[in-house]
Amino acid sequence: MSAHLERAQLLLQQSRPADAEREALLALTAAPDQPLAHAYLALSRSDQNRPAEAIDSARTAVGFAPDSAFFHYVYAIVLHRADREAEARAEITEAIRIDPETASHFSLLASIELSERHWAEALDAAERGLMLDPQDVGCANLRSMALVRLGRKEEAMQAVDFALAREPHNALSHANQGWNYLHRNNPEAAQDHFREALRLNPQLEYARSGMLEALKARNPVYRGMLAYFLWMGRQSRRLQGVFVVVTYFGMNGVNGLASHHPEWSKVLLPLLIAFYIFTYLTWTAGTMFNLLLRLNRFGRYVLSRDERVATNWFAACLVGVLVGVGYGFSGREEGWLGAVIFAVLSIAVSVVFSRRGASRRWFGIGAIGLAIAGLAGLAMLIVEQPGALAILIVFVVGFLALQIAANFVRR
Amino acid sequence: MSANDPLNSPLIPVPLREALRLSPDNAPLLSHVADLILKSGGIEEAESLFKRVLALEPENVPAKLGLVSAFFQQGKTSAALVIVETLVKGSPPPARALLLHARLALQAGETRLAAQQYQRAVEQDPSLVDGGLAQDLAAFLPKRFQGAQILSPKPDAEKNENPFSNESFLAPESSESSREALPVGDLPSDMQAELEKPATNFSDVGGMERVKEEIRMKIILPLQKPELFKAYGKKVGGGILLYGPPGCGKTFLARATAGEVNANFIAVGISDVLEMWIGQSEKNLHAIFEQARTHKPCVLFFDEVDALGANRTDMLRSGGRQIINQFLSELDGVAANNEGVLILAATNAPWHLDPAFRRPGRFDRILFVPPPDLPARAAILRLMLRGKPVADVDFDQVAKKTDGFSGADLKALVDLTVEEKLREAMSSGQIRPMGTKDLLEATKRHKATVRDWFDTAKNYALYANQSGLYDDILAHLKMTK
Repeated sequence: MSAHLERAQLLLQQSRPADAEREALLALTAAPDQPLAHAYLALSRSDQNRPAEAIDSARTAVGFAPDSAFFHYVYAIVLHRADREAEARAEITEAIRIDPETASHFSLLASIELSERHWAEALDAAERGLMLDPQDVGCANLRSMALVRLGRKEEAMQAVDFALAREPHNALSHANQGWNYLHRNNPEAAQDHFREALRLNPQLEYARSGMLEALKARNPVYRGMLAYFLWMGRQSRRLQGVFVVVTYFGMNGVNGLASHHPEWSKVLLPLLIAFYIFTYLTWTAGTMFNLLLRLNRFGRYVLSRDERVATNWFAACLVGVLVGVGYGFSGREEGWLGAVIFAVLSIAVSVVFSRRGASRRWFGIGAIGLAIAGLAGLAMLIVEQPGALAILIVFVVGFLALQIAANFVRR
Repeated sequence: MSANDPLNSPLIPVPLREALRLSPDNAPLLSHVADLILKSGGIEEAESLFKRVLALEPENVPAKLGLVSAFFQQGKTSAALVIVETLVKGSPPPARALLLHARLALQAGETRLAAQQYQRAVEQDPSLVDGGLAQDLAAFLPKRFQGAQILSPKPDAEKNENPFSNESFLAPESSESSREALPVGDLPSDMQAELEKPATNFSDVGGMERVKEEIRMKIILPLQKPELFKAYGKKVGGGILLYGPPGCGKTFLARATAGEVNANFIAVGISDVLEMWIGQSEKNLHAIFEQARTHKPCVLFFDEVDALGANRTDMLRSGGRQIINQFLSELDGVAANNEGVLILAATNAPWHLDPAFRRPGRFDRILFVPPPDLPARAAILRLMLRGKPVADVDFDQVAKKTDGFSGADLKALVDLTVEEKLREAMSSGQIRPMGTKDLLEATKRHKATVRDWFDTAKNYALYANQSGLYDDILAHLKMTK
């Protein structure tokens, strides 16, 4: 292996993809037909969130050495990271066909199955990997992830304990154990593991995001919401859909009941208010509690730049809500409408920042359109311009469309 | 690249095109690409690329042979012949040039000359046996050259079936594979790094007072007052590790340090040391240290030191560990005396450096080189605009507007301003000096590049700072845990 390739390999291990890319390109200047250099190029570009280029490079590597399992494995990695799971599965299956004795091939397969919410298949793949190499930390962790989603939380914790006993300085295992504790609604213990994971690898995003959740979960409201999010995350897509539809129609029924039986309103009204707050929080809790975390001395540093930007926009929307409520209480009815518009915009902000790449751009454009329609409609209503109602209808339809799209378009 | 540029040819794989964009004057790469295009049938583009290689390296023999091949395939035999004839006059002539000459001569009807050249080619390199050509020249060839089966060609001789296929040009006589086969001990290091006497000193370094003070204490004073240090039994030498975001003047500071003490200066980059042959990198490193020891006082500066001293737990291969062991032993001066050799190193990623380098006697002072502060930015801008046409520049105002800019960012800012002024001067025909407004205008087009570095550094400072190593980063970011 050339010095440039060795360096590229090391830099990839050190999570320095831009430098690794430079070294791989230098290796290619000396020998343009090295599949390994193309593979490293693919991995470095994938790490820099440039999926199209990464896939192109990985495909070139496979083209140079189609009978090597390693290059199919790399191709599968970059496809998996680009959320192209079906193609990734095909590539890793090919890698396994060529070399069925490598545990890391099975850990990648398990990871692909997890992304597809095929918990049982993920568990099977991880266990096949562990049969080949019982020391494989990746397979052990993926087995634990699959187990927790299958509701076998105790076994999941034991699996990571076992991995940590073998390799106590493995950041991924600590992060995984942290998430296991979160699934068991124990954020304090989770924090200890996330802290250790971050000490071992401060760049591990899986641990940072876990730490963020654990810190937020110190608040009992968020702790409840997190338990709900994690529970929903363990369900299949079909069950998730059924749950949302049943809840929606159930609450519509309650609403109808309340209007037909005003005498029951003492019971039904709080129920409805709690439901609307809960629904609002399902969209915004993450960003809202990130905003609260900015008041915490340590917590504010755990937030990424992106999360801080999201909280800035969210805070602006909340100010809008408060101003609207203020005007509402002062007797100006448009104030209430303004508060609702800003509350809706705060949901749009949370949706936009929960996405990445092209999806975020499209949702961002949608949110800007929504803001223009809402604020223009409000302004026209205040100055009693005709057509305000039509624009506000556009706002409502736009919001419904955004919600539907957010439920069906991948992040 | 224009639309007619051969580098835009769809026959070139995208990664190679990108590599060429990064390194447009890389003759070996251009040559490789030309070979690839030629093999894919892009003869005219290949011709153009081989010419480009020869413009860069007029004596590049493989490129000349490639050009001959391109000419031949286009029927430009006289052009091909002109080049081949100069090549075969060489002493000794390249075997492949002789083979090409034989082909061309046969086409021109000079069968006797063709046979003669073919015979010489095959005598020089038996792998060039060409059954078809030998058959055409059979009447003029001795019997032993008449059939490919008589000789024992290389197993992959079929690749060389067509001498104009250019496949053969990819493996020159002293190919890498033959070098690889050499035993390690046969590769002595003739590594000689460039020795400098830098003209820059601390007065050329804007700001960085704390860092300069540390270097003064650790490096400059021991050299200027050796008796004082001797009295206290303190050795002169040791190392300082400079770390910080890229483009903040670590290298410049190291050079200025050498200038300050009027010492020799050796700047070592990773490419000066790392080589693919087993054991060679260690030898190169030793040779560099030896060179520094023989040119005392000498400041030895390792740029991107994390490449040579990466954390051993990150390493998969033992080869990388060997160089770390060698580096540590050179720093310790186990087999030689490092007295008078001052070692500076710079890195953007101190967290990836093996902890062994931080032990006393090695890089025992670790200094954070932050982006320049306000007075430093003003000082840097003053230095950068020295000698250029400027009028009434409010350096403090520009410095205020460039918070978070590295030295490299400030240079980019000045470059942008100069380019804009040049454009104006070209259209108006008058040279107008640069002013505050011009510099402030440029700040809108260039943003600070160190933000990403601080995002990473912040994580290490927050989570992996048990020894307080990164307290300077926390202080710089005004963070308290």
